[in-house]
Amino acid sequence: MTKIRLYRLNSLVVMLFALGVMAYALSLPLGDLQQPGAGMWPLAVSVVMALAALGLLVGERDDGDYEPLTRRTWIIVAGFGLMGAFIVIFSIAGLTLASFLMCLVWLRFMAEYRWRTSLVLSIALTAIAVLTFSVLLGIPMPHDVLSVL
Amino acid sequence: MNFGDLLLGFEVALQPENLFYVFIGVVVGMVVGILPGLGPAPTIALMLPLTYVLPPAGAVLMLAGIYYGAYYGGTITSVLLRLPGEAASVVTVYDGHQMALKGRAGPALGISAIGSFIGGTVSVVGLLFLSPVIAGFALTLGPPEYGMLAVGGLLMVSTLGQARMLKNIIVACLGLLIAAVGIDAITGVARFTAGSTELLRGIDFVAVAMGLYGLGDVLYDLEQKARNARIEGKLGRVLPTRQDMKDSAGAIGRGSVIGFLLGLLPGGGGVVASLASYATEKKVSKHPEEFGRGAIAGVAGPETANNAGSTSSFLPLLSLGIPSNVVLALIFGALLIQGITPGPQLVTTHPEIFWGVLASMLVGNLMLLVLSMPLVKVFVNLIRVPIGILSTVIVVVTMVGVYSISNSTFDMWIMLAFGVVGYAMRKTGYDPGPLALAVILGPLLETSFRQSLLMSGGSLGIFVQRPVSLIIVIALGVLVVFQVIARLRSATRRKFIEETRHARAAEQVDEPAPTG
Repeated sequence: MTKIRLYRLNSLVVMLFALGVMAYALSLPLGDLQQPGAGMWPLAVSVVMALAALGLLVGERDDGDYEPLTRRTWIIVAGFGLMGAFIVIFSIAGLTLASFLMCLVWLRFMAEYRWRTSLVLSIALTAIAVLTFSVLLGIPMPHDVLSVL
Repeated sequence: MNFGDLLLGFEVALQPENLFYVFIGVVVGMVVGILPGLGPAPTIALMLPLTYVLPPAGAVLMLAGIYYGAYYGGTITSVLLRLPGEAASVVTVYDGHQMALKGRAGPALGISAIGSFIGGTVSVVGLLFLSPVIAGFALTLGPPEYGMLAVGGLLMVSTLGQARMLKNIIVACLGLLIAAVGIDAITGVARFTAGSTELLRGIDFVAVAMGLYGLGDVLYDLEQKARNARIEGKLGRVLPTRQDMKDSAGAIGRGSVIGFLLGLLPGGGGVVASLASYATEKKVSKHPEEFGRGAIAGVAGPETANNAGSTSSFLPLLSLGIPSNVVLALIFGALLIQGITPGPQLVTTHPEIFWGVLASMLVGNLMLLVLSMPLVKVFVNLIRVPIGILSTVIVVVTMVGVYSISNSTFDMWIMLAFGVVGYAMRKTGYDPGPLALAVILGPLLETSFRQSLLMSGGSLGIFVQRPVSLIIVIALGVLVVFQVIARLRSATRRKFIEETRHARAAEQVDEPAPTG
């Protein structure tokens, strides 16, 4: 079985994306060249994109541009998940709790600090964040559950 | 030319409040130029929400301060640690670090600061003469010319970038599509919104930029192994000697002119200028063999050109509304947040911004000169800030920062999505630069394209029938052909070198090993 080359896969993904946009643009009112409609511009851009992807598919011959996924890559995936969790907690429970939990988990597991260091740093960073954003800059935040304390 | 304008600029730049913003900008810029993994683009992206609460002139002055302050910070790490903080300082590593190893880091940094100041001054004087001409010229341009200028800006960034040209074009197209999300300004049709009411207002550039640069860069750095930063060499006295000044004078003069001219071009700015200056200095030097071994001209020229280029690149941004690189695209974004659209009218409607920025660059460079001499040893220790803590801070700051723009968690999700996109792009050899630029230039490009077609009754010939537009098209055509030839030549040369190396290796295997 031949291994699927990353560079081929990349060009194909881009090409499919461009074709998808093209199909969508065609579903919008196109107008004509004298009176271009809403779909004309996305159509033109997606055609250029598809041509560039085709050029890449033909022209790119090696995987030199592609960095392999390593064990550390999964840390990044977890990082993005954590940020998603931050947004959810932030919108429900406010800045203080979200920021504290985020810092704690991030420092302990992503940056691999000890629990104690992570805890101290998290409290400090959260205090700075709350002071800067809520107090100093006066940004209206979602309701903070810890404000009752 | 009107000196009154420049005086107005100084009046703005020297107001205590604005001096403070410039100071903050320069210090923050220098700090992030030194901090591992952060360059001017991510920092300005991170600071964008903050500028919301500042007055327009103060905001732009501060961001401009970050721009050239970060370049200087990059110089410090290039010289002392052999780590260029950002692209414009890469050439400084060659001779700057060699000087540091010889115990002359001080003069290397000193001459950089002096050269930067002179380059910036020459640029401001040049702009004093040129800006009324360009601003007047800009008023005569119509949609076809603007369309072609915007295409030019994108093409220059795409062809000059480090990644492959086709990949850059794909990225630029993606940026143009992102800019098209929301209600079509001309027909009122919703595009790419998938029924979401939040997407009707379009995708916020700040969220895109902060995701791509703030989150994307930091996560990418977190994944890489921590770099070992060790300060090598002695700082020595910071002030260059009389001989140093004599050796650098020509380089500073040439660097100022090269930087000024290259900064005016789309796609130009500090990076290209510093590379061009280094190449020139090596060519004109009587002792080219000294380059790479600690020639002070190899530091003075590029550093001067870098700053001259960063200064003059504000002209296409502020007078044509065309940012020539990513950092300027972000400053464009900041101006939009303030309700100011950069373009031909800006010089007349907001002279305080145009001239204030230019004057503040001189003031800011002077601050850098004064600050860096005594404090360079303190600043350089910032390199030891662990990436783990730095990334935590950046994540919280970007998240809350993007929320603050319109108090919407939707923008946070958009930023997160672009953080993923930015990270994936770095892993697959795509440069996010053209994307940010395309998101900014997208509306201008689409509107000009459609208005041109309306004007010509549907004929694409309008882009080559009007003289100025034709000149731009020809210039772009020449540029693309030149780039393609240059790339092919370098590819052929690389192949030749590879083949020769293989052939030699094969010969060595065949030959009997010498004895005795």
